[in-house]
Amino acid sequence: MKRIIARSLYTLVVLFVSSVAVFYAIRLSGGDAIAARLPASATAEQRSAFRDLIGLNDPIYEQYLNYMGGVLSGDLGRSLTNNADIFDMLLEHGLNSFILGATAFALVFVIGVPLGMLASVRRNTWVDNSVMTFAVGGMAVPNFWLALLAVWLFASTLGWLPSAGCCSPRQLVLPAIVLAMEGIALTVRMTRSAMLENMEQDFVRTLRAGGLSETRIVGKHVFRNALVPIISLAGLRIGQIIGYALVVEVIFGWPGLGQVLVNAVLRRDYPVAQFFSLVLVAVVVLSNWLADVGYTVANPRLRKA
Amino acid sequence: MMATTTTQPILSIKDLRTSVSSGGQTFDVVRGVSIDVYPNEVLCLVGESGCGKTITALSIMRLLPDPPVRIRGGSVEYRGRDLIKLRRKEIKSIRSNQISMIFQDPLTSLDPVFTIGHVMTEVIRNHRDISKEEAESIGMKMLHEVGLPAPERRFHSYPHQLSGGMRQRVMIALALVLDPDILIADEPTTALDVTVQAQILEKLLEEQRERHMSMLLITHDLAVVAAVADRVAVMYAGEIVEEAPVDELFSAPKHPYTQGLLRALPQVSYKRDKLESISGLVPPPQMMPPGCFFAPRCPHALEVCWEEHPELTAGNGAKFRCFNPQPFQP
Amino acid sequence: MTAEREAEARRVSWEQQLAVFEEEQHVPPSRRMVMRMRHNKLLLLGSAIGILVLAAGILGPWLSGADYTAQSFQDTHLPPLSEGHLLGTDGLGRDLAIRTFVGIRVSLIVAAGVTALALVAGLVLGMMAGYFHGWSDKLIGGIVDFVWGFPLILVAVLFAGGLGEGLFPVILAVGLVNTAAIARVVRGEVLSLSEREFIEAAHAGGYSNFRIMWRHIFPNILAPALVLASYYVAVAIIAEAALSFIGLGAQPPLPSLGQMVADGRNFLRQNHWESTIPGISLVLLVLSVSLIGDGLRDVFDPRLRHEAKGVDDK
Repeated sequence: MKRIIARSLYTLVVLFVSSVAVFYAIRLSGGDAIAARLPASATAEQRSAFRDLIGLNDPIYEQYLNYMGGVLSGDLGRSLTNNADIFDMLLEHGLNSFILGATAFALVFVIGVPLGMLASVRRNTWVDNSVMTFAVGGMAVPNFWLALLAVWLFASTLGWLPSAGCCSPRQLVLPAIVLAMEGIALTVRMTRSAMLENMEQDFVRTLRAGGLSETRIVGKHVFRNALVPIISLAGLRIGQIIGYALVVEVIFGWPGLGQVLVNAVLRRDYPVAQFFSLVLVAVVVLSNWLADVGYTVANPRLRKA
Repeated sequence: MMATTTTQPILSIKDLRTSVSSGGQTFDVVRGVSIDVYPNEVLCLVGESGCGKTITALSIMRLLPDPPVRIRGGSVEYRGRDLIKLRRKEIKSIRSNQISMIFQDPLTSLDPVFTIGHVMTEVIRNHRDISKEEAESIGMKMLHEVGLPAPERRFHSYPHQLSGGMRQRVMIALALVLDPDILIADEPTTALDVTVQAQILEKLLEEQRERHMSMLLITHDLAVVAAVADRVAVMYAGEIVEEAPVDELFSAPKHPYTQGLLRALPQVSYKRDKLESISGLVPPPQMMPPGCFFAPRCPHALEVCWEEHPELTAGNGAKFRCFNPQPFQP
Repeated sequence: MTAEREAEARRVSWEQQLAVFEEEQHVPPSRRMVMRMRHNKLLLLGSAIGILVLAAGILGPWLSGADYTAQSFQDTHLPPLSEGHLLGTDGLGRDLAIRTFVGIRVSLIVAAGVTALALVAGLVLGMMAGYFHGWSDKLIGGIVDFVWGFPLILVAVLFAGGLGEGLFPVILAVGLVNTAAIARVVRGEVLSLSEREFIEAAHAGGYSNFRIMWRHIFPNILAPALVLASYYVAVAIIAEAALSFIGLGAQPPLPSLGQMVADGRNFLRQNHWESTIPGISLVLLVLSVSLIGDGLRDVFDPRLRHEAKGVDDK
């Protein structure tokens, strides 16, 4: 418990520090671009006046406070590209990203853990070798290429699934699988190794001496012990998924936060880039915190009873 | 209790052979071991590390880690059946139910993510068709019997919350809760503090007497043997080299290895000039001497000892494996 | 009397035989490791592919001497094995072979080159933090704990947001995240090592801190650090490619494998090679790095065969 509180405080500090860092970085380069939206003929004084007007000449910490105040009160500004309200964008795109991310996250464990278990109980057989080849391959193939292949195969050639767009379940299939692929590969490997390691532990011998069946020993006791590292790292999968979501959303035209952020960066839409950077960073920090909590909870040895 | 020569053994190991594979090569580590365990007695199996005593014990209930270690021959007779030849289902019903085993390191021998009560209940209900509440109460009573303080609370504890001695008591409780005929104890006290060792040994003896159980206790510590054994079997390099009732073994050992072990015991009663030890080391399994395995280290080795392998010779209640036994000089 | 002497003679000759046997069994650990390396199929396969790809990346542009920016309006979309263009051309008539080679080079420099630097930095920082404890550990540990878990792509996008497009933000991101990841693992290993008895013994023997670090700690952490670094090289390659695929990262005319795949995306039906050739190069690149990493891990610790990488517990 003490550990969880300590990590939570640390996480709050991290949130604060990273928000400052992101803010500072983007303001630094973005400010002039905002000013660049003035006609080229504007004089230096006009530029300066403009900057005064939008607060760019204030000290950085004041700008930060003003901005944060705006964020907390719901005023996030507007997109430079299409003048959309950023808060509305957050709601709409946030939901889309959440759907995609949550589905991918679920796939990682629903597919990864059973496959890993299967490989571990059929060690060194063809089952094990094919699962491991799949896992190695899954990590080696860049997921945008995988996306292209998947689109080419399932959409263009076979016509089973749509190649882009949102938001029907059929349109969710390909992006979610592509997004989950690396997590699946990693989880398979981790599950397999955790299972194998635990199968060799002394407590298994005690349980066998108790007359319990192998199925029960492996399926219940070994599995539950193997879950400890898997659960503790589940939070990190979230961060990884967020990272790849940026790319997957763009490829499949899935209108989520990642796509918004990337487009904003490409088009120099600074208010949008700034806010959504903050959001994504916050989500990653929180998921790392979750990973910490998960580690403490999953391992009874760390829970001070 | 002493066994008389007219009773039948409850467990009879005959010519057991077990091999280990490693790095592409296979070696025998148990080479034709035959021991009988009689009802209601404590038999100690003594030897140094690597002599094969643990593997012999594990072979009884077929708890060997099979890819590297395999039983190659022999039989283990219990209640008219050869345990080596039993089907998996049958051997599982014997484990903990009729024959139990406790192991050396209680630290790692318990599942860390479940409470000890949970595991106890699971083992009980695996063999008995009773409700969870019944099993729990049986388990708690057993924890109380083995001397675990605050058994109701400990029932819901995790292994890491208990001390080494407490954990070993839990292991004993787990092993005895279904009232088996035979308990195999593999170095049960080696990993514990000296004071706790005595307590655990006493508890084991108490249980053995009250339940009229047989106990096969494996150890390398002669002090433990002196404290609990009725009979003793000494192992060296995968073979039994001597077997005798405990008093006779300590007063008149026949085999030079046994004699060396006794001589090596630091004596508290009188002062000696130096500590005696047996010269040399156990030979590696790939390089066993052609004749008697102990010949390179034996002070009385003869020519024949290097050429022929001695068999176990029996003589009034005791057996030994030597061509040239000499009287024991402490 | 003679019987005893004969027995004694027997014993002596036996001891000699035993000594010879022990000699034969004993193989120095370094030689054993080399033997393992030679037999390890993963390592061999990975190195074979890796050398091929490396050769393409380093020697390819130099040998062919062509200009990767040269456009040609009549020679567009030529298939492989056309005259003058071994792998064909893309939509702007640029030679695919030379662009692929240069693209490999870019990937290697960004991923492997930067990670090599990160390895050095991570080793130094990690050793300092783990060995000296105190404030340096708190400071380095704090930063590292924060940065290491961040997805590389997100960090690169953030830097791109602040610094504009191009390779520089990507390089910065790779350097930062990889250094943090390596420092974190190194720190953990050093912490556990410095509590081992042989370090205490070295202190008691009066060795200087630097000497202890260099001769006792460093060799023990080099292996896990290398294995980790190889994993992060693979991650960096994929991240850089993914970023250039969506438009960040290397900017035209500098070719990048990811960018090339993106360019060829619209022609998958007729001229798929414009995407598949860079795509396959990428896969080979990542595969060779992964196999070498897995192979190295097997060599350094055979018990961990087929297991997850050291990306776990704190």
